[in-house]
Amino acid sequence: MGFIFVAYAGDQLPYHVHILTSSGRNIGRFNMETQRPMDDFEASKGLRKALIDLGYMREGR
Amino acid sequence: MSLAHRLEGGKASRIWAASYDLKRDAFRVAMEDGRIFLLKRPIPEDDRSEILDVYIEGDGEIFTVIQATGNEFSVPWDVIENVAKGKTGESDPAVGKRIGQHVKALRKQHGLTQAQLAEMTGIKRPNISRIEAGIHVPGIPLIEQLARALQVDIIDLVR
Repeated sequence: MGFIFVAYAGDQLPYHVHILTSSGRNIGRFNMETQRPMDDFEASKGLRKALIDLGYMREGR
Repeated sequence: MSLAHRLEGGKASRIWAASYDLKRDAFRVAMEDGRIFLLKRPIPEDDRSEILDVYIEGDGEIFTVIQATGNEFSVPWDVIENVAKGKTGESDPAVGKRIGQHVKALRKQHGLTQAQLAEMTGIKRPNISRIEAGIHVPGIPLIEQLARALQVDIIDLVR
């Protein structure tokens, strides 16, 4: 499954990205400052890899 | 007045309807849980020109505005409540200071001047200066540009 990550220029703090599936379904938000989801979802292995690859998540979390 | 609305039910975090109220010069947004917010203009990224269209995108998580100048911006559901209360993410001095320190330290590590970093990122030099001083708290798109130029991950600038 692919993911779409969206960050808005006018978005409020804390720094976060909105995560959607490639079909456009909303998964939730990932808080970069705490390195945790802001909504009720568990990051799958694939999603964690994508977050790390894009620089939103630190490796080893 | 332009109007967009969604007919499907769903979470409290979803936008059901979004419209522009010319008389009040504000966006009226109804969430699927029944809450209604009035967003007085200008809101972040709004260039104050005439509003041509307002529509809801994706799964109802954002509404997008098209203006007469061609400016187009999106407002995510989680920003709506804060904007309606007059709060934006650009007012936290501690966050601005932290990012500014990271940017300045990394720029110096790379032996770059503010002007060189400005050229690499496309961000104007006075704005680099404002970011480094912690006066301006940049959004993620700007942080992405800075991280790319300074050869670090985005997370290295925001934490």
